[in-house]
Amino acid sequence: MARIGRAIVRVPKKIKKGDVFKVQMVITHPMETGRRKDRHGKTIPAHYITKVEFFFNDKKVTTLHTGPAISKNPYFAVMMKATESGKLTIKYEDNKGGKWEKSVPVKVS
Amino acid sequence: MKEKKYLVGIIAGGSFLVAAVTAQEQTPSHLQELLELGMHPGHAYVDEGRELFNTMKGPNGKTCASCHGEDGSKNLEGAYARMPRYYTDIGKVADLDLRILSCMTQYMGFDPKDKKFRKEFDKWSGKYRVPLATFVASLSNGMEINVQIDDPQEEEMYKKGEKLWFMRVGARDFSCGICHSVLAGKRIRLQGLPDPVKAKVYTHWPAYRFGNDRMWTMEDRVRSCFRAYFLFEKKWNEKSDWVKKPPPYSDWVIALELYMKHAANGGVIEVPGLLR
Amino acid sequence: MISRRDLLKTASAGALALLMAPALIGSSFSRDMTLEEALKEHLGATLSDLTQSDKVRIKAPTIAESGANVPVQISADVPVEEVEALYIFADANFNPWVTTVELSPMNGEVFFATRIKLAKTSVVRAIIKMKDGTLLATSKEIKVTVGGCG
Repeated sequence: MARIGRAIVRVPKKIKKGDVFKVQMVITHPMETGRRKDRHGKTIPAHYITKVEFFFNDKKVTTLHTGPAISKNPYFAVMMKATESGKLTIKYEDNKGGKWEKSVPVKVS
Repeated sequence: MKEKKYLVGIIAGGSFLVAAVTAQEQTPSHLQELLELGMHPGHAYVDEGRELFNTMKGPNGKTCASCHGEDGSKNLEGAYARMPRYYTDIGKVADLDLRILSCMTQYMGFDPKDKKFRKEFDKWSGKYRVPLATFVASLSNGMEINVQIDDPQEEEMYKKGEKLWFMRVGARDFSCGICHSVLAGKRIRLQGLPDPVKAKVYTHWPAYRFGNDRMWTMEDRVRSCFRAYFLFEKKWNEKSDWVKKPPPYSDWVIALELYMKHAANGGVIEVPGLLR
Repeated sequence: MISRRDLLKTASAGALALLMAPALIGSSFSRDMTLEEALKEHLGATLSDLTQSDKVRIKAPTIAESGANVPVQISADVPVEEVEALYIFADANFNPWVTTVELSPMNGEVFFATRIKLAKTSVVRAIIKMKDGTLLATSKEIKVTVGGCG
């Protein structure tokens, strides 16, 4: 599959001050439950995203606690309200010590 | 009165039939609800492909962007809309997957005879092939498919595709056409059978198939049909009854792709697709 | 001299024991948990503590062609400032807890969408934990079937 831990984030291009808008993301990650066996009968170890944190201009907006019941290559969407332009930073980690970060600009007019 | 009883019976039976028919028409909306989310893992493959395109250096130090410009801005927009087609530098009709392989071996220094490289590249969910194909295909988004058949090799390949579409093979005597033309519109379990020829299904390929959480190109799809459906029963003789997966980029695959894509001419490309 | 029959018997018993081993060891995610246990662990509550509410909505397909990718969109008509967190549970999963979403006033609305895995046909629950401790909940049964060929 694609590189593990790659995130793509979408925010609307035109946001008016005070609008509530949707933030969507997809992370490439196997989200293994630890219950599956490979074709040789060996159990595939659990490997899944445990936490996703959304920050806007360094202020925490949302924390997701996740487990292997989330689908492979997870999709997450939350709503957000912004009164100023800035930077949306998303920090995410998995149970094997993987830690990543992705930032996108948010333009508010 | 007896007549009244029959009338009631007919009305009851009739309404039952109507309910059964309309229930069948309400196709499950699982795929629709997934599409409604607006974003799916296929889009991550476009991103992966873009990164490889711009930054992955071949053994001779070139990246795809070295010739095709950053993000494919030099001459790649709309290229996918015209494939498969004859390429003079390859000497045959090539689809997107073969075109990428040829570019990597002829211009980036990758060794076409390196078994390890070929195994990684050709396999299902191929390491460079799938993300690069997804990215390059996305450069034709919004454009109409426009496959032209002018070269004699293209004509020959197209005729092959037409013939292969209905050619019955294997111990089950299946052909593409049986499920995807004759029985198109009906269901296998919960899934409707699409007709790629009439419904211009190729506009949504390469696609992310959520049934197995993988990104597929049409090469993968055609080859897997042979492997999965045409096929395999343990009691049958593997050598004589089982249709093997055609080799990657072989005439079997490219001919069928050309046939299906030409049928989709005029359809607007929208990749990456999302399918079961 | 051990007979072939006895050898086969002990060998198959041994193999069976080895196969069972992962189920006996394993992390908490490989242990079967009931809904009550999952609610206790994440909410410190029981099913009877949940208040069924029309203000919470689950948008998800009634029938899923594949249990591995079920889209769910949760929303609630309550001010986000009064909400502590949003929870999703799937009754029939090995571990019914799916996810916990800690919202803040900057979210603007109570909303969360994702794709989840359902081991089999299951009731899916969305629970909104209010700051005053109330648990507003709604549920929907999602049937899991198999789609198509291959």
